[in-house]
Amino acid sequence: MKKWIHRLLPILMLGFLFLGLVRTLFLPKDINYYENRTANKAPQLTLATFRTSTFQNGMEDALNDQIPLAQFMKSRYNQADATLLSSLLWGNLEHFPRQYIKFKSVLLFHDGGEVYATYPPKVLDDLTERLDEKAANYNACISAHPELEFYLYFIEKDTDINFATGEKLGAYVYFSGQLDLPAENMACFSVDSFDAYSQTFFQTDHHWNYRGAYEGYCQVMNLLGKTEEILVPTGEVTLPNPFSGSKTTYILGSTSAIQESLTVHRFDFPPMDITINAEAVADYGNREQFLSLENPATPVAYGAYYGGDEGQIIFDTGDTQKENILILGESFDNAILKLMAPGFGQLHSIDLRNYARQSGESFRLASYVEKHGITKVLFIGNLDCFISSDFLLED
Amino acid sequence: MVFCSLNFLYLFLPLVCVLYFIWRNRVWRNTILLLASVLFYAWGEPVYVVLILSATFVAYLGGIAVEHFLQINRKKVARLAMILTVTVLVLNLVVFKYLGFLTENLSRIPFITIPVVELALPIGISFYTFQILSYVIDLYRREVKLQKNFFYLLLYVSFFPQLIAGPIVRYQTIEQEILERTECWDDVIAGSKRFILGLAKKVLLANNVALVAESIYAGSGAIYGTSALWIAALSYTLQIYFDFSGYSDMAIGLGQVFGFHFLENFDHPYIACSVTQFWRRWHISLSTWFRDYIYIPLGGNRVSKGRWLRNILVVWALTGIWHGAEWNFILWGLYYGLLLVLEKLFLGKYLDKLPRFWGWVYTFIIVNIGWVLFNQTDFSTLGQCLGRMFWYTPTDWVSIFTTNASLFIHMGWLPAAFICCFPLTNRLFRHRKRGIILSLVETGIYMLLLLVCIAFIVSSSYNPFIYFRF
Repeated sequence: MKKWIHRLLPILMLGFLFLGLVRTLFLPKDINYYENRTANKAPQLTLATFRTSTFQNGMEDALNDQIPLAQFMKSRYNQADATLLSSLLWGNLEHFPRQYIKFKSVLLFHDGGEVYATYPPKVLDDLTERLDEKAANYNACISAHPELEFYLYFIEKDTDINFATGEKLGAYVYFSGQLDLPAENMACFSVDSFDAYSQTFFQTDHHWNYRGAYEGYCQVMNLLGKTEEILVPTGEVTLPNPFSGSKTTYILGSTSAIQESLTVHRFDFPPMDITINAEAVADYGNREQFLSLENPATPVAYGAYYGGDEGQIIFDTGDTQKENILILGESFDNAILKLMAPGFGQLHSIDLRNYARQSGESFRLASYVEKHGITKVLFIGNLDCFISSDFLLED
Repeated sequence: MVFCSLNFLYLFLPLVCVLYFIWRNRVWRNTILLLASVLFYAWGEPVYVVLILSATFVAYLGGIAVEHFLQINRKKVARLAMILTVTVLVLNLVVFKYLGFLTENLSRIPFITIPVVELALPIGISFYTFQILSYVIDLYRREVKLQKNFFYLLLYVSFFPQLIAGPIVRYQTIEQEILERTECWDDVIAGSKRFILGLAKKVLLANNVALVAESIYAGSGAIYGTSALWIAALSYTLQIYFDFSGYSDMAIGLGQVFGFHFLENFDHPYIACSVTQFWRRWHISLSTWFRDYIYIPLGGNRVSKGRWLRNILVVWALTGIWHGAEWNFILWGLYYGLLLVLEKLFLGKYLDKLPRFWGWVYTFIIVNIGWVLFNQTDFSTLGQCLGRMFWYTPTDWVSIFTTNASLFIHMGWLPAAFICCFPLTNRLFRHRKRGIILSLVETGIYMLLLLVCIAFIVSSSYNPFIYFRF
């Protein structure tokens, strides 16, 4: 017995490592939930893949995702990293001038009070080709549908401005200049300074906060000629559970070191029928559940509260006197879709990243607008939406 | 493949251990090790397996020729065979490692037009070439017996624990063990512990302090002043030690698991109180190789003073260039050569009279400066670094922090790394039989250490290895 206790180390070590191998080869998981992507699996071994090192690199990636405790270890490591940084920085802000502080792939910026995780400002010259491609795509649809009214709402964020120098990217000005739309059909949620940004965006998430979302909502409704339909909030609520957004979750990998509160507006919504991907649902998002202040089953997050990036969402107020609108956007408009809906007969929201996968068919503008009696089309999103090929439209 | 990759830890090592130990037969076990070693090398560079096979075959044939001529008492022909074999092997190394350096420098000479030829450097070529050379030369000196089995010779040359980053194992060290070793639980346990400690040195200490050195040296501008550059020098000093000694520990530990007993490669070099002492503790396998195969054959110190000086400078220039095909490595080698000469001539006597602490301070500073020479391949950057290290310029730490906040987290590893340079931590981890409770606690600590290392490997994408390309 005694000798086997002395021999435990190599046996445990070999057993632990072997377990990792067996798990990777024979019991791989499909999703890496911690990193929010599909999990890498063991690649096929052939002479060609070995010679080009594709197998070797793929195997390393697979082990990285599949070995027991991999995600746990990564999350604890990133947590420790971010906790150390926040303890170094938060108490010593007065020593740091108002400039970007680089931590891994996130920049931090502060105003002497709160620290904000930001993305680095982009360079317009690097983006013009993709903006041109998107503008050409939209212009083709615009010219093919003279019966429709098209609108653009561009949401600026941290990538659109250098907070340290105040210099703006100018992407909205460039992009709107390429579109065949009258100026009165285009508007922008402008971020002109860090002070403005900190008022309207989250500290740890890339989305706008409740103030920014409401301001954007009002601007969009004005743009669409629906000023009189703007809903007024009935109050503000700060949810009890802390919130750690996309920048800290996915970039820093830490949800506990840097947190903030999620404050939201209360609204009195009129009754409407809601379908998500052709299935009737009680609500879009989980507003009521969170506002009832019960401990929510899901952690607090922007998408968890306002609603996720569904391929197709239809809000039907039943008012056939009002127009039907099609919103082609992404996650920013999740916060305002339900607010906009009462201004229309039907509000259709399409997220082109997920529509085909969730509905089983490609999105075609012409057939969709004809089928649903759409008269207005709103392109809404932040810079990433307008430079990504995921959001190219097929007529 | 490197030891601190998941491929090695989870795929290669468990499979090799299982396949090795299920056989009792020595021939089968050696076959498994040989196949594993070839696979290990091919994993990173499938094409250059041919090169290591060819080099070994040249040594095999050369060895047969040397032995044959020695047997029939034709020593001069045997010597010629040995020289020819050594020449082919050294030329092989020169072509792959130094051809680019030579052609680039020759092309700078006016009126000489030579195309600059750069070949990809095969992994571990410096290490396995020196191993093969030691076999051939020791065979000629009759210090080892001819290895008639090509595959056993190939096993010696390509054995995966020491293949890509040493230690440089002499054939005489493992000649007997190829066929007559005994694997025992004590060795497996001690080897496992050594491997985990080596992994911790590399992954926890070396990789983290490396980020400090890398960050400061990669930065430019006046914000990096005297204190920043000394911290970078210290970081690199610690990085290179834990990188290399960690890898040696892993190699020695793995060898021990399979019944081989390699000689130590490091003996706490940073406690040395003179440069002479330092080189008896640092990369021992390389310094003894140069001593036995270059310095002593040149006459060593049993020649006139002028020749002795020449011998030292030749050995140290070669030591420098062995590390890399750049002028700074030669400068680094000559830097130590000169210091060793000074210590032998008069400085050593003064150091012996000083309290150990001052001898240590002198040596540690010399070594830090040496690593700056080693690290900076560009002479103008080197000049700037040394200039700022010795001519005070203030450091703008606030600006450095804003450019890379992670730097300060990694600097937190410096004190721990510095303390681990000293033998006191060794005493804690020395392998010895303990009671049941202590044994269980020790097992728990080592497993935890292994888990932490794996956590760092999985979490961090930064995992360079300095000696990988030697």
